[in-house]
Amino acid sequence: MNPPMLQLISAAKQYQRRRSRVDALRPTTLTIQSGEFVAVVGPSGSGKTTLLCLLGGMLTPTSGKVLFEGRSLYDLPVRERARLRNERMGFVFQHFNLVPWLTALENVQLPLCLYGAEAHIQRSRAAELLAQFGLADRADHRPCELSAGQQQRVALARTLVTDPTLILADEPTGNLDPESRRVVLEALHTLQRERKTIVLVTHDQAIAAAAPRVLRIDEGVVRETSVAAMGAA
Amino acid sequence: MTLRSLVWKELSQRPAPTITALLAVALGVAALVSVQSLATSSEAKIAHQLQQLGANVLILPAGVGLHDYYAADLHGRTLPEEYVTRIALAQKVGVEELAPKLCVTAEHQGRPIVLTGILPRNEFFQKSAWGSVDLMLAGLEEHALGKKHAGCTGRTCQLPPADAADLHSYAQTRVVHELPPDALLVGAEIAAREGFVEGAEVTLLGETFRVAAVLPPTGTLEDGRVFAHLHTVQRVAGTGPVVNVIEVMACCEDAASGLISELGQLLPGSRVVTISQIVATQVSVNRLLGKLSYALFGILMLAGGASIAGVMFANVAERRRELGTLMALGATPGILSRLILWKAALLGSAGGAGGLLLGVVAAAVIGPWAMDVVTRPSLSAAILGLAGAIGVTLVASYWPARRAATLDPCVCFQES
Repeated sequence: MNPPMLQLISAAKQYQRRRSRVDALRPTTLTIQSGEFVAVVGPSGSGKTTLLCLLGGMLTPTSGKVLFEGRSLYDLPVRERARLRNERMGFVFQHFNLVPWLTALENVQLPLCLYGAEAHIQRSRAAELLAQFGLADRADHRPCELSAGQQQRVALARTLVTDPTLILADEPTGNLDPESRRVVLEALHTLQRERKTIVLVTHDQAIAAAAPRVLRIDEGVVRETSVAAMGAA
Repeated sequence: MTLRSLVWKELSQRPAPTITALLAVALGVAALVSVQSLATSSEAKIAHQLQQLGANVLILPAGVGLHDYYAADLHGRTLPEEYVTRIALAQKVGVEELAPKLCVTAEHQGRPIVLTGILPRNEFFQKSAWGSVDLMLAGLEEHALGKKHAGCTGRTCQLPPADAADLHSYAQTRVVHELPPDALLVGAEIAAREGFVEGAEVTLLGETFRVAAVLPPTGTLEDGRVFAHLHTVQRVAGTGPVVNVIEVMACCEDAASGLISELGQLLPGSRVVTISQIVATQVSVNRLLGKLSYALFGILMLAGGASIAGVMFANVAERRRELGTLMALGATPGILSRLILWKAALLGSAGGAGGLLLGVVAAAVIGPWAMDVVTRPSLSAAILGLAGAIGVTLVASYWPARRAATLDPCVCFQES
């Protein structure tokens, strides 16, 4: 039997701020199976981003363990974790995080460039992804020349260019108009159908409602919840 | 796309912040290259002139200052001509040629002309007691020069037999083998001004001379002079047996230096100077300039380094989210460091190359204009400047690169 995609085993994160301790994530144990679509909801400052960073191998927990496919993420060397992020994980950001001085095509190429793929492979794969998101004619445009929706589609293309198995998305529709929001959601559902594991942080009730599993965080405490309970909250 | 092309794209898209930081580095390299090029070219010119001069020791009347080698006899004070005989008879170590000169002013068609008396070599041969200049050298080789000057071939070779009778060679060798009493050697400039041609008769101080040769131009004051036999000049000017200066060609600079004290004792009331002493001031000025250029280079490199460090820190700070995103996409801290250091190396190379170009152009313009030197770029300064520029930018970018490498990747989730 394959190990779960992600496991938190009593994982906690504390910060020291101005001589006081902040519990960003209280000791949490949870399992996310391969192919799951998990929505994470909660008020601002509740610890959603901390959870995402822990799952993405970017924030060492103060205590506990984070396992990725059975391997303890933070026992791996930094280089190995970076390699895992590059090859197996994809990030989607609320503010798209495109590099402003690169074209759409070059932005999509970035993960392949970091992987060390050959230039022609980078270009053809990036062009294929841009075409898939209807941006073939925008390949040479810089982010500032694209609408918010187009920028998020470029960011999605960048996320998927290495064909990751785990997608960590932070408010991916937070800055989008309804049409662009629809395109992004459609893309996420397509990925779900392709058995990708998706962990999505959102404030959007509709998106959370569409997720088979919802986690709610309040003051660093993670609880399983349901859409009905969310509505009540 | 590669990591290096990423650096290049960032630089080409946002060059403004780095250009000002590069200015100090470029100016430092430019200062080093230009001043070093000027100094080395000036020294090379001096060395070449020394080689061309022939005479490397001047014997002057006591108290005479020397500001221009080519005007060493234009002071109106005299030495006894007998000093020439005294030097020759003493057979001092390293003395190869003697060239006494007497300078008087004459007029031609109402215009002043400097008439210089020179003593041809055959006058030495006529004095049996002197033997010959060549014999003097042979004698030196036997006993006095010793091993120190074993390889010294001397300057008498400047007047090979075929040229011995050619009066035109005086312009280069400052030695003439034979000169009839009424012969006149005319500098190129004065010949053009007065219309003197070879074979023409010219009357100066009541004496009629025949122009035996118009000398090729040398670019010195001597182009504006006329030369005649020393004894003729003494007679027509009524000076008696005196000279203004005795030029001594020593076999090499080492021998010339050793001659100073010996000649000083031999010729009381005279001042003995070597050409190397005369040029020493210029050489020391050049060396001081060279040292100052290193100091200026160091100061500007420090300023440039501090400026680049500031720009790089600011660059890392304003790109925090971008760098965090790169980490989220799989960049290791090492990759981020390299991105910053490659950028620094590119900036250093650009600053160094720009400074190098600026320095070469500045030296090429300033050299002929201010120092009368055709400047050749100093290779060692160019290498040092380029290496220094790259080194300084790399060192200055080390801490910003470390800061980039230790960034918290979670900044990629923050708002800009």
